[in-house]
Amino acid sequence: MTMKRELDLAARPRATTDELNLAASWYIACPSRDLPARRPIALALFGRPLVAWRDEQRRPVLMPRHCPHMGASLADGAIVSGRLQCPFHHWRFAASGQCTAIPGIDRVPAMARQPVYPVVERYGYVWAWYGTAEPLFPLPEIPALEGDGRGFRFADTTAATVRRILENSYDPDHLAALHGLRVAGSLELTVLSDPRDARRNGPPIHDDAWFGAVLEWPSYAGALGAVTRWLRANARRFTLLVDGWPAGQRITYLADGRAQYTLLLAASPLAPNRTVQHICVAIPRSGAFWRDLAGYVFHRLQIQVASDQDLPIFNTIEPGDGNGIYVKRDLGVVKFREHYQAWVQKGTPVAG
Amino acid sequence: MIERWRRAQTSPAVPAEQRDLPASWYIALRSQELAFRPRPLQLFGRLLVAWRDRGGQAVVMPRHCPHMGASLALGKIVDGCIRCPFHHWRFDASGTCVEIPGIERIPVIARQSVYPVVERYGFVWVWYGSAAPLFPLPAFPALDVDRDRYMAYQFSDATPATVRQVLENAYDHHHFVTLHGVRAAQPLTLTMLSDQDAARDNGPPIAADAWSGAVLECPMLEPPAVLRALGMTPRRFRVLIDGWPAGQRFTFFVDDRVIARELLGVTPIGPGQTVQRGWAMIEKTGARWRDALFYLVYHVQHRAGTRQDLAIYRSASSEVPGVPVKYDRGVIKFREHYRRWVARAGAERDHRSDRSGADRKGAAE
Repeated sequence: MTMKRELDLAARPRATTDELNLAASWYIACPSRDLPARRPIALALFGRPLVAWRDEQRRPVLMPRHCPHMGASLADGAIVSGRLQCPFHHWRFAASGQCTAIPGIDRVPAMARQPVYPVVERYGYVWAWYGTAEPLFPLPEIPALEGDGRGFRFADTTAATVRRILENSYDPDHLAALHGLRVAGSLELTVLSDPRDARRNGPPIHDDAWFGAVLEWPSYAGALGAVTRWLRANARRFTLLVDGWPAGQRITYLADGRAQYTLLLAASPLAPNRTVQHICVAIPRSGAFWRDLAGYVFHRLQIQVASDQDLPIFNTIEPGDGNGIYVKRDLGVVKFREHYQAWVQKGTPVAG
Repeated sequence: MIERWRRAQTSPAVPAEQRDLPASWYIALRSQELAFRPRPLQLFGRLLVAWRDRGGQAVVMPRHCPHMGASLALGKIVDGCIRCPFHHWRFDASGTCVEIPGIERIPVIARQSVYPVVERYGFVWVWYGSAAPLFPLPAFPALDVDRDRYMAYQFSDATPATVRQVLENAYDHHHFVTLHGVRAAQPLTLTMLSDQDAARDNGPPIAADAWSGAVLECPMLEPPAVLRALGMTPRRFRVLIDGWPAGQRFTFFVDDRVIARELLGVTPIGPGQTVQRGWAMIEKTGARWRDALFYLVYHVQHRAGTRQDLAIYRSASSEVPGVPVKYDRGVIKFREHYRRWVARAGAERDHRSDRSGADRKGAAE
């Protein structure tokens, strides 16, 4: 988190939950490497000022940024024996949020505590649960990201909402119009009804939270057709297997049934209409060095170009999550929006 | 792992809807600012897009596509229609969606409401406050039929003032003395006009109920030193002011001879963001050097006066109800007139505000 982002968020009033339209879910609080072991960092997340730090076991902790005593920023504090110490009066907080020491005071008031967010660290990210005091489902697994594949990741701050970023995967028509995808035939989306149909993405996701679809298209035509033929990467049938929870997705890209890469798409909702889109990609190794390298370069370029085409749309899109005028090819987006909104309803905002 | 962090290029600020504007013609942008590519605009606290159709006609409509909300300002003009970048929906100059790739029957509700637009005097003017204009854009002959008789320059000044503050200024004759330092042996007078015929020197009549006008007179001007040095010793100075709720025409007379005219329009971007813009036209006498010198003097005093007004606007509050005294009669009359036209825009404003919510709950085809 840069200082600049901190400053421009601090100037704004705290956002209400309604403005953010957030589903109860797992979100990325920050990439793991942004959270040092020995000092707390200020985070803006869910429209709230928060502080993240690591306890003695280096486990991440996420709590409201301001000390319940006199309101000083705990992000300016220090980590002392696995506790976060406020810079103002040296109150100390444990990873549970409980205040454990107040200089000169023997009995710490029971109400001297910070609510903490449920947190998990995985795939190189610190994940935070939002919406209820306890998570309603565990963070879904993405085995491909723990293999020995080559990988890369992007994080782009956008002016879109979480819902707009995630529904994009269920929108087949923008692939032709925005991304200029030309294929020899048609591009079809099928909304899945059984989590087991998405098992190539990983172990099934908790039933209620799960949503998935398959996008399929025949061989590439046009310029991409020429490039993929030359790379021998064209195929008779391409499949994008998308599944996920309301605020994140696992996506496997297959050519004639062979996995080409697995992509994680998730978000950090900073403030209304200010969301970081996180993309993390793992490309499996075949063992053939040059072939793997060519595949890596090709997929990286492809994903980066596509993401660079989406970002200007996200950065100028209509603020908020208004509904649109739908046509029948928008079925995937409409169904996902319904699913997402059902999980917005499940959230009972926790103190923060 | 190779990582890339990038910040958004745009600010996500959502403007607030303006609720205190009269139904009227406003300046959207300069004609030359609108070429072959769509342009994002913010007017009336709304996010809009302007573009030109096949015939070069300017079109102003809401910026975001009614389908998935992408900005049409990133779109392209294809066959005289604006094409959304996201899913290639195309809208014609009437706002009707004329093409959705892969869809044969276009939903009837797939349309953008367009604003009435007129392009004149180097500006694209847009009507605000009702579906159809309640009066035509007033004429300013100095910029069309009489153009050759004037030396002209365009001005454009951004200010946090409200539209009303910018326009009521002309009816506030006392501030010419106190703020702008006009010196006269007799007090300045402002007479509100009730007969539009008295304003015919400003141009053809304006629709009667939209019109308001006044004459500012200074019978015994003490000309500033710079004019005296140039051998100009004007005595009687008169300004004829008239206009519609969001714009004004001025004719400046010295000793009953026309010396200059001005056209003032406004661009209401949003609450606390207004641009006053228009034209100053200085009448040629035929004496080239004298004209050039007078043009320069006029320009300098006009800009200096504007700077003084802008400084006041920057720190003034539009919230203060005001304590009127007798010489504020002109301002009070203008405010009454202005308020009547704010009320006339009310119905349309409520309709549009509803639209963003209710109308967007379109069902699947």
